[in-house]
Amino acid sequence: MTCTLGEVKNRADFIVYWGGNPAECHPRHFTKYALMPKSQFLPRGRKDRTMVLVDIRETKSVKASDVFLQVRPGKDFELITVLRAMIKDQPISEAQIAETGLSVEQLQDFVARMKAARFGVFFFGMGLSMTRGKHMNSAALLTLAAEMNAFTKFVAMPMRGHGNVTGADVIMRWQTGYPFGISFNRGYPRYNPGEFSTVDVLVRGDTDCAFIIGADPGATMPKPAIEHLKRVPTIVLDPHVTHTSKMARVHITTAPAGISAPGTAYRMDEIPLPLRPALESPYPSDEEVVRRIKETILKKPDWMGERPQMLTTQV
Amino acid sequence: MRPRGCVPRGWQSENLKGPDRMLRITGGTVYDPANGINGEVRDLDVEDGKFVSSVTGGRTIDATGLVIFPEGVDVHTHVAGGSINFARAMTPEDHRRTQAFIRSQTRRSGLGGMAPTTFATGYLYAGMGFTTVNEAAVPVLSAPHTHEEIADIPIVDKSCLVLMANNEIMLDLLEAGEYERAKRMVAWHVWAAKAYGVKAVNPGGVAAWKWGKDAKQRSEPVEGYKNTTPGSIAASLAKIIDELGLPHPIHLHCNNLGAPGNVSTTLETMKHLEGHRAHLAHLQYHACGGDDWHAMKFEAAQLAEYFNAHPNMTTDAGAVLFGDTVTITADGPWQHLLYKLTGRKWGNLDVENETGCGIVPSSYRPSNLVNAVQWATGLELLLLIDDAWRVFLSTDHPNGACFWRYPEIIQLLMCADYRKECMAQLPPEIKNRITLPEIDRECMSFENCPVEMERIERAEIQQCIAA
Amino acid sequence: MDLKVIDNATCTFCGCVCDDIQLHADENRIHQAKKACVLGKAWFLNHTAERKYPDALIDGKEATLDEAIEAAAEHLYQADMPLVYGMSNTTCEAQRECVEMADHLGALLDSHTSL
Repeated sequence: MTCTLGEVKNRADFIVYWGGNPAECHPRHFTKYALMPKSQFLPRGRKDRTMVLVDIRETKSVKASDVFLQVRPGKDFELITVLRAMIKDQPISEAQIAETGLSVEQLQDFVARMKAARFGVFFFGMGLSMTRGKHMNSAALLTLAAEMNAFTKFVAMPMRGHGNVTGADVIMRWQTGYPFGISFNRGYPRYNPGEFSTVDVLVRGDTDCAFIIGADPGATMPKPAIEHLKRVPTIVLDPHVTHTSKMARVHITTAPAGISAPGTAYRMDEIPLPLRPALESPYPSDEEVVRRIKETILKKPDWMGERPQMLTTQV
Repeated sequence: MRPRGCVPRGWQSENLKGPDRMLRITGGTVYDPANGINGEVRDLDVEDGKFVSSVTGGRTIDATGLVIFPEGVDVHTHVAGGSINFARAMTPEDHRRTQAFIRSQTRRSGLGGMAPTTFATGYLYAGMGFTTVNEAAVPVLSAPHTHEEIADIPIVDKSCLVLMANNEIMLDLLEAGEYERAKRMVAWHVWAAKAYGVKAVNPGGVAAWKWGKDAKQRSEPVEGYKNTTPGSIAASLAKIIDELGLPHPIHLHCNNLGAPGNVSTTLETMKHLEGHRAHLAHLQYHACGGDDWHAMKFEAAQLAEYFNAHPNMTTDAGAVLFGDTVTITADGPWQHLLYKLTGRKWGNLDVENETGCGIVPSSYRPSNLVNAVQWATGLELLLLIDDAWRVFLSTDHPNGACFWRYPEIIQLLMCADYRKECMAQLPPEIKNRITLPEIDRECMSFENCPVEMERIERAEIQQCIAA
Repeated sequence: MDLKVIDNATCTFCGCVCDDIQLHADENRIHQAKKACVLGKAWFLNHTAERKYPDALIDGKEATLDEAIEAAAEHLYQADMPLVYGMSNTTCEAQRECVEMADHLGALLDSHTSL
């Protein structure tokens, strides 16, 4: 259950940020989309909305919230499960509630507010999706949102970070069917996060050449992964000479997207927006460089040999 | 757009020079109902994309032993954009068990299944002899996304319809009686979304869904409005589209999809639209009689009778085939009901100003009475509508079944014995709920042309050669 | 000095992708990013159009773009199991090229999402 940010702006009178710190990580999320705007159905803006923040510690976002629920670290999944039971009036033991680090009153109040909302939204951040439980936490929250629709309108959406990572997700889905963690080594896309996801591939040493664009794994990945990147030929496209470029066999400087390279980027709610660059770069765009590398590869003899056009059953 | 790594358009291209402008196809068996050619073995000559009496030079294709027939046009399908892409994300398990296309020097890889990837979509449609597909639901806000995906569907021609019937600005204008401004707004939306026409989904109902509600009655005002009713929205849009002279009429998905008793809603809608052109989408889903799920029967005969008498309308069947699929529709309230009925995954995607979209994986089973009746109704509609030029074969891909299963429907239409065989699997309670057993029409490839009943909008035979 | 004004510019720093930024720029740098947040301002103001880095580096030595493209293509072509990774700070157009290249290479393809 998700929606575009314009829907939130126009309708959401109950907003929950879960495991995120928008005040510092997505500063304009409050003012442009979620909390402050006066809109069609919420003419008084902030006054017409209630904001609840669920996080493990007090961040700068607490100041903007009406209610702050400090969940015990690593207990998000438990809290969501308790809430799922409570909205359906299922029995919950005190021990189960105590485990979440919150009181019965706090939770009852939260449930009452959720049910009283006309249009509720959960925004969940890395604090939920990247801590213990990982995607299970996100799935549980999505289920809670789905189940809330028995009472009122409710949606949930991730607070995607980092530039155009949403665009990559969307494009891989329409071209390959899968959002990330893909292998083409049998000539068609296969998906297996944990096997084909980059950190796992690098830690196992399962690649013999890495092409890196718009990312700096040299600064963000665990040490064994970086060690493997140093061993194999690495090609980096980046507007700057980065940690990763320093260990690369080939570095190509490109124009930064949106500053001096034109194109499209997807917003976190999967709406594509055109970029309007302000500067002329002395460097080529990523698009041009990747296309030229691809065309150079295409000119070399096809390594695949004879294959059927289609498999009715995948192997 | 930039050229994609796909099969080149070949001789169709307008840029071709010299001998490449010519094409000769020899020895094929030609079916062309529009020109009265019924299974003749003959040669065809093409110059600049048009048939001519003879050409000299150019490429020759030997089509001996092959059938040549007019291109297929899928008038109502969901192959590109936010909703089908959401469905792809929701069904990785299906991608794993489905057919896989392997890349070559000229082809990209892809996966088929319930929600095929864009490249596979092009290959699968082309393989069935289709050349034109119409993505039937595009919210104006994410139209650029739809067009990006469309650019990655190779071989076939693509068009799309912009969603209008729940646009709040539009509803406000209609409520205020500002008809001329509403008309200009429709024109702007068609331009902005780069659409071929206008789609109206559950008029007023999706707007109400944004508050978790639905619009069930045609004559009652929509949630949040005083005078605007689903009926008045549909009628105004039909009039606007006629006055603007858009080539495709209003593409209407009626209210109350799939609900028992909705046939009365549908008939009432058809009456509202008298005097205008209209296309009624996936009619099967709007042909339910009875008062509840148990008493549910289908009223294809009643609808077909009305439809036959009203040449202002076209329709597509929205046929259902048994098996797994994923349902996606801008009809959010219906999808929430389906989620509650099936308890399966549910995705919902609301886009400001216009649309909501629900996504629920689903299976149609012959043992399920409602599914069985739906299956029969889709076929009944295709068989009972006399004028085959006004009814399109569709499954509302991927809702009723995936588009690559169209040949199964064609077999069902052409062969009464095969239909009987399939009907034997249906539950016994189905008696008196359907009329399919009484229909023994067999659509031969030429009779009214139902085999290729997709309208031949450009009356030219394309190079589709199907074995 | 007259600055060029770009209305409704798009900031790609975080997932909000705000598309209502007004940029004031000369030929070399952006001087003002109105409506942008702290992060967005830093993003716009920290880039320049100057030639701060070499076009390309091969094994740490300066090289031309053409040489680097040849070298990159050769490394990828020779590899048995190449990996195409990242794709967050770039445009959709470049991402599409990346997917196509990975498809042709029979490569592993992954984005930041998997981290």
